[in-house]
Amino acid sequence: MFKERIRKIYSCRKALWDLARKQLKAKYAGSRLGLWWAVVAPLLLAASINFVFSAVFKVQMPNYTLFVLSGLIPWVFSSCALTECATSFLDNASLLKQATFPRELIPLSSVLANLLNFLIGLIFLLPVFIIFNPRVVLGILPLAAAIGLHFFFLAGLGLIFSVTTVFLRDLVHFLSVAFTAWFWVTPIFYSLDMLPDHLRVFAFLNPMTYFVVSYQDILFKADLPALRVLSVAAALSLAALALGYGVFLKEEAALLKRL
Amino acid sequence: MSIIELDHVWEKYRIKFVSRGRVDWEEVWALKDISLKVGRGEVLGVIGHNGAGKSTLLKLVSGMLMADKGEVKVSGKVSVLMELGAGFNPEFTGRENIRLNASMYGLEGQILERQIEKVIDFADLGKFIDAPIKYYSQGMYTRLAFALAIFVEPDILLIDDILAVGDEEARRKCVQKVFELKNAGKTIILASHDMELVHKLCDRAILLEAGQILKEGLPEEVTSAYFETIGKKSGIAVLQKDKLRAVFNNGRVSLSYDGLPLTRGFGANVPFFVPRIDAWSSSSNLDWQVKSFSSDRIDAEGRDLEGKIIQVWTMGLSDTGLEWQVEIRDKNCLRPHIDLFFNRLYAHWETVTGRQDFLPFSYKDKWQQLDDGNIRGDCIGLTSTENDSGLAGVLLTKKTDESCFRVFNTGYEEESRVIQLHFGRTDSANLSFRFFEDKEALTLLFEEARNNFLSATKNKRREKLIECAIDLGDTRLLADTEEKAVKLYFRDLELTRHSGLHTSICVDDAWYDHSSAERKFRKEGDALLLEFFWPDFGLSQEWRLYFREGLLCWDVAYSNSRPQKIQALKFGLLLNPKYRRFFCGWQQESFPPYSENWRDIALFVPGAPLFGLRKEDALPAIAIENASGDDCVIQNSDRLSGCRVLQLSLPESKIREEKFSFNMKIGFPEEETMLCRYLDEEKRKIDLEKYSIISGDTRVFADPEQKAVRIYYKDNEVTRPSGGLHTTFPLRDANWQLERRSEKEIVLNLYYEAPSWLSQVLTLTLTQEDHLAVKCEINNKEPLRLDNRAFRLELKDRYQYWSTADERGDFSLNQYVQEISPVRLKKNKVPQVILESKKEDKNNIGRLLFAADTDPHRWSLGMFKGKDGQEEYICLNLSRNSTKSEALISPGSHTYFQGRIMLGESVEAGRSVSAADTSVLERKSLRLCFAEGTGRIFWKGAELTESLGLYSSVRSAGIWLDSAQAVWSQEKRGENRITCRGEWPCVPIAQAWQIELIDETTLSWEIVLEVYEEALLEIKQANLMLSNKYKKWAVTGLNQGEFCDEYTRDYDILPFRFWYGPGDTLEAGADSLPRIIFRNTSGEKALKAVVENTDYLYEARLLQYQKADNLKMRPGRYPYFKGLIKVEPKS
Repeated sequence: MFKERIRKIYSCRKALWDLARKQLKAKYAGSRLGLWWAVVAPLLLAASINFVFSAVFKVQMPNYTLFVLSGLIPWVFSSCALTECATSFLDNASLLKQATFPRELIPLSSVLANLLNFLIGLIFLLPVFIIFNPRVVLGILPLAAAIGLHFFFLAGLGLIFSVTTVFLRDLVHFLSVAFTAWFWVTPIFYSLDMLPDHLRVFAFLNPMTYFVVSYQDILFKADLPALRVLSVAAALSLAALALGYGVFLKEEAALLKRL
Repeated sequence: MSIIELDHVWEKYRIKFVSRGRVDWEEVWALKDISLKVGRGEVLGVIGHNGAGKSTLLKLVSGMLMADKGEVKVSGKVSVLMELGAGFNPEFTGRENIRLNASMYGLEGQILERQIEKVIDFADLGKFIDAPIKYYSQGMYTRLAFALAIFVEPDILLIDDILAVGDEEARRKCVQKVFELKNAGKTIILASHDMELVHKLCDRAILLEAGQILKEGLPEEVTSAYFETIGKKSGIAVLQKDKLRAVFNNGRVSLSYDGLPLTRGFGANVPFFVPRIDAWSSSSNLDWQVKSFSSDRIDAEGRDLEGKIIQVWTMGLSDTGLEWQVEIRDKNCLRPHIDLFFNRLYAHWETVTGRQDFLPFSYKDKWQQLDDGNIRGDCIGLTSTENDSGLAGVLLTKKTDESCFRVFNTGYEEESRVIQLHFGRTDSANLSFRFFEDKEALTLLFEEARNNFLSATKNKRREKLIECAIDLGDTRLLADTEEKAVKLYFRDLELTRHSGLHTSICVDDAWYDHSSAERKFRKEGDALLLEFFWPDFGLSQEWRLYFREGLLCWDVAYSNSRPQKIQALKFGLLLNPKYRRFFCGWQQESFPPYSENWRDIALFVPGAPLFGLRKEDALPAIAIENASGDDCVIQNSDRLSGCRVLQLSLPESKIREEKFSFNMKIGFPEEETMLCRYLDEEKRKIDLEKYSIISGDTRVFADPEQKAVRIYYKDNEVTRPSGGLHTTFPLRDANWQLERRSEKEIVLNLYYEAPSWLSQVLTLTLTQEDHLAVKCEINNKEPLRLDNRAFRLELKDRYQYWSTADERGDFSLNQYVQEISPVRLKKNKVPQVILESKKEDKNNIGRLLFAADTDPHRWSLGMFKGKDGQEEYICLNLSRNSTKSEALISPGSHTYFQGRIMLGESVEAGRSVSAADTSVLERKSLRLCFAEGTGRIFWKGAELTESLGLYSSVRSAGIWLDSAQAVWSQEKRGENRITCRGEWPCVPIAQAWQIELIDETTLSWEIVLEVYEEALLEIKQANLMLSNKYKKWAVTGLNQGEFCDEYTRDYDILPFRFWYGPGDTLEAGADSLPRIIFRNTSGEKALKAVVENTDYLYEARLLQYQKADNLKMRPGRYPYFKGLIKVEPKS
């Protein structure tokens, strides 16, 4: 049955693509900067972080802004994707009634839309990294792999969130708080090295760490991420996907009635 | 093979109930054990109350919900029309929304582009397709959303009653498309509340109630089962016996036999008219309560909003069938009747008089009456054709004599047969139903009934015949005590209707006839003696009816003990509606169609000595002698009664008297010719007496019937038969009031309906022999803008030559262009024209003079020959040149035309027309004569110019207007200078000219244009028309050439043109005349110089300066032209 669903998703890939496109357009519809927000938003955020932590907390790291940026852009992608994904079923309830496509495409499209958003931002900011360290160019392929793994992780998580939200609207509020907290515990505005040893363990318990570290390695250090990190990330993606899909399939029937 | 299959499907919802802080989760079963199959191409209707489970069912089929128990099998592409506009984002445009959502609806691949075009086409939004949909109206939104869902090209279409949304146009389109899909073989499931749509669209239907299928089958069956369930429960009751099932539902009754519905739609109801709100209401609008209900009887009461009992119904089952009684309790319910809507499959209806077929439905919504308004007997039977599946025959019997049946077809939207039972004068109606499975039995029953009826009527007639009838030849008069009527028969055809010979008395504004009187009819020898007494008024009448000398004499002896009360008294006949034509004196007309009320026909001669009805097929003519000159009354009854009325109305003087006698003689002239001759004779007499004036050989006849004035000379009609004299406002459209003041004078007052404050007075006086003076006057109570004041004479084509003071012509040379052949005059500002007849008519017609007597210089003559089918006629039109400022007439009385028409051999021009105001400037050899907007130039006595000479022209709205047509007034005149001003007709402009003699060879000409109101002037010209003796032309410094001697025939096509372009000096040279130079000194570059020939009328040369700038000019003064005319004598 699993295979059948995959097949169906494949046959409806145009619908998925259109849904993602639609969401992306709708996100920026009516705004002046439009898609440029994908670039501007992380930049602004990075600048503010830079100000606070360099000037106020006096963090000593060369090219701190770039470091922050490398981890921040994927973070923005993750948090946006998951937040939008959570409410995707609720927002698109009317579309479900017309659905000739598999329903999991709805949360998937949310993640996909944000992926596109992320990629657009990346395209403009990548040159910055390259200018700083030309060796980054070699890391394009690993970058693509990292993005892929990241996407599947988010997809799986997104499925879980979206299904849960239908039954428990509270999740949305919880998530808004949770992401803020999650931001602090993920090594985005500080590097792993900066953590004291005994606390470093906790960082490794955070699944997001693995992904963020991968990006930082590729973009900032111009290095391949450690095999350990990558393998854990891959395992996490697979687990998330499997779990997410399983939850979805189980609750699909009840889900439809709730909407 | 079914493509949709539901197998024991159960569906439940878990719903959270929150009350007072407590939260309960309850399971609600939306669908319980539903099994159904839908085949390919089938259209299934799903009906039921809200909450019955229709939407849930559709959601299951579409895959939106998964069944809790049981299986749902669907094969094929499904498109759902449940919530319109799923996935639409209001910020995006229609087009964007289609594109973005197309794939989500299932449109993909190659067909995507094509389908998108189709969608945009269907939605028909024009340019709004590119506007954000938040700006759309509901109808537009519906169309777009619907289009997208439909053009997915699904195999299965699920529609959840969204066709109710949107405007009429959107809905119609959507429904039409659904029908198209049905015809294309798509499978459709329609959940709807629109029963008519379900009937029309669906092959099968199911009724859902609380999650279960109550009934499945043909749409008609299922919808009628549905009707039983809707409505207030306390107003519903069902009677069932064997195969008959009668359902009473809140003021409606539906019947079914053996499962088949006999009634359609909502069944039967009792409408009534409420005068207070001037509208119709129905028993279904009342609030019903079933008072008592047993297995064979229902009693129900219907109340209005205030709780007053309006109707009481009783329905009971008897051995033979169903009895139904309706009682109206409220006096304010007028004209109540029972409307029974029967299944359209009923094909025949029969009464005791015969069997008829129901006609096919012809109108869309209008009802069509199928009976003739006179159904005899007390029963009607309905049967369907042999082939139709066992629709039971129905026999309806009414119990009261007062009530009467009517049979109708509704429109094809409703598609029902209607049997209507009018209550008549009573408050209740009683109807019994009998049902026949065996059609034979019904037919036999009718045979029997028919025989009984016929023999009964025969007996009745026989009795009456002996009792109270008198005969003369084929005519019979019958006084019928039972039916309270006095009837006339001719060879067994009933000429009268209803009460026949009758009397009508008006007391206190109410009319009474002899039905409210005590009657005593008897026969005495060869006469009928009828006595009537009205106790309420103390009136008695004694009628004596007998035949004498072929006429029916009706003598009335009338006695009145209270004379003051009676307001009007009439005697007359109510006659067969088959009569179509009537006459009164010389007036002959057809009856107009029936209206809602009794209508009097307007009679020209109310006191005519003879009036009546003309023969019609087998019905003889009826003529009533009015010896005493009382008022004749001819009426059309209202639609319900359907008859014609002839009456004599007695004058007030007689009514006041206590006793008097009155008699009427009625004849039946079989010979049409006699009647016709009489009528023609009458007419002629009247024509001559009332409407003609004669003097010499001329007769002028004002015909009120044709509404035309006609002139005859030696008894030959000179004017056109459709009307000779025509004033500015048409005679035809007015209400005429003729006054024949004397033998020689007629005054016509013409009143118009629109505008009502306008009237004309046309005075025709024969002042001398063959000399008719005409005067037209306008009376207006409000200011009137009259640009055109004209008087027109239309004559028969018996004249050949025409002549004015300046020209002569021959009509026969004229050529027709589209029915009109105009005569072009060089000078049309003449007030008079004389026509000469054709040779063959010389002795019969002679000559004709038509002239205006006042202001001879202000009239323009227009002449043309016209063709109207085969008829050729001549039209002479005198119209007054008025300027724009003269056009406004203040309220009052205003004579706009005074003229004369003279006929005969000796007609001559008579008075000569004095020359128009001419101004002359002269010095030595040069002379300029300016008159009425034209300037002629002479050198040593010889004229250099031709016809119009120096003149200007303006073209506005495609019409050319010369200065010669304007109204000129001289303002100043000096030794060497003329200053004048002309006001143009039709266009709000005026020109001020200044012509000055500069030296002995030169004239200067300056024109200033004054515009009063915004006007579009297309072309402006200043012209010099020269004699065709000029052979050479030159444009100084540019070109030169010779004039050819050809002139175009057609007025509108460009004449022969030799130069059109720049140039400020034009010259023309001739052998015998001095050279003439026309120079433009205004310095305006836009003025083009033109050299051309005129057309055939003038045969002259034209030097012209023209500006064709098509300018819309604002009020103001503008320089128009400034130039010099110089004569260069030969040395």
